[in-house]
Amino acid sequence: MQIDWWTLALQIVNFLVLVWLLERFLYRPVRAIIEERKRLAAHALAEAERAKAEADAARQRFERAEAQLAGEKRKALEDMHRELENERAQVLEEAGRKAERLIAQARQSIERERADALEALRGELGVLAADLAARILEGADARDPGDATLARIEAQLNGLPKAERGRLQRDLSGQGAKLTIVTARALPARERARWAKRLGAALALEGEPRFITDPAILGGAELRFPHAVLSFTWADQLRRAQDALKGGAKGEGRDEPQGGATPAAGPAEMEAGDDAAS
Amino acid sequence: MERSPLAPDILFQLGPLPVSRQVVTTWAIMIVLVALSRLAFAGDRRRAQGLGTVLEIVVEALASQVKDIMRRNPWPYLPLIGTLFLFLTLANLSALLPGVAPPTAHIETPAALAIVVFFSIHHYGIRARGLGPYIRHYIEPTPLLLPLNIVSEITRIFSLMIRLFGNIMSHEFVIAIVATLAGLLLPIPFMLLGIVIGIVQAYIFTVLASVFIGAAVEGAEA
Repeated sequence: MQIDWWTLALQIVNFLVLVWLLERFLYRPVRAIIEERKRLAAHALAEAERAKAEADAARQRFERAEAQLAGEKRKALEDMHRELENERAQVLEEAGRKAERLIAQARQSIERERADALEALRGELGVLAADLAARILEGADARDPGDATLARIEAQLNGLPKAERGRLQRDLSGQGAKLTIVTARALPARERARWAKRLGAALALEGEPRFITDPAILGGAELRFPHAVLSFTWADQLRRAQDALKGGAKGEGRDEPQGGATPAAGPAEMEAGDDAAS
Repeated sequence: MERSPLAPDILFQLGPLPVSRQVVTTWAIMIVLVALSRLAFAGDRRRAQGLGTVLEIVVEALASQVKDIMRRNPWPYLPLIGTLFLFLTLANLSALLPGVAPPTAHIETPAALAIVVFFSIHHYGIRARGLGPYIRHYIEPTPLLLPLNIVSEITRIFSLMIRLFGNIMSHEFVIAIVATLAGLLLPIPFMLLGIVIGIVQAYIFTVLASVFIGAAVEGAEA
């Protein structure tokens, strides 16, 4: 076996040259590619990490915004419910007030109608009672004024205040002025004289009073002054009773505008009632 | 007198320099490897496709293998070790081409590679550890081991050379004998076996070179 040293040397050189050439044209480019890929991979990884961080941040922002929106929505719903409750309470309160007002108005209306009906009934009852009393009195002996009526008139005249009685006396002191005594039936002469004497004493009359009859007064007597009337008649009493039935005490005593005399009706009425009963 | 089949086949003279067939084959392999590399990575290197991808995968696989063996950054050692593997693979497989004799079937090429590996071991060892520490590792743990270490250094390189040469040469002889005795078709299975043998021998040579270099730089900072 022999060795060709030239060939050996050439192969050494050849191999070293090949090492140099491949280092230049193969290993270096491949290494550069690998380094570049590693760099790109690291860059992509960093980008991915950054994108992931951004996505996480965006997700957290979204979750915060969502929670905030949910809170605002809940608050808005609560506010709306509260407002609806308030409006409902107000509407109910208003409706209650209206209902109470309507009920009160209805009650007032009913009360008024009842009062009106009662007043009308009283009026009718008064009229009916006055008619009945008038019919009864027309057929009774009580149409004649008795002593009690005279005494009552006397007491009334004597009980008048001095100024009032003076006014009545001055009324009768005029020219041609006379006291007129009205009765339901004509009084006998003796009765007339007694009435003239006692009333003349009470009123300090100088002349004789005039006597006239008026069946419309039903009973009792009526003193007519030139400018005043003192009535102690049944008709007057019945009218007062009728008025009292209608509306209480209205028309209590007939106030004549001419004289301003205020005869006390109560005693006359009682006297007349007593007379009627007898 | 019949010519020895192991004698170099001188094709022509280049001045005083005799150029043998194995040298020409080596040049052809060099041209192929460089051309492929240029072709693969011309233009935009970041967008290597097709051939570039294949070469990239091969280089990455070699780098990964060297890293596994040496436990350190493979790129400073890859030009030598990777070129060893690529050249040996193509050289061993060149026997498949008609009329081409593998350069590794002659003693000069394995010897040249073994010499390169021998000096590379010391080059990398001294560069990694420094001259003193590298020389000292021959007399550690005791100077009595120095002769043994020196003998070991020579014999392991010698065995590296002889292993490659013996396998490829014997395979060539087997195919030649079978072809002579049995005709044209029978050598085909042996040729397929030759593919395995060629790649395995290239791998063994490369791995052993990596192990030797790795042992030389062991202990130094990676």
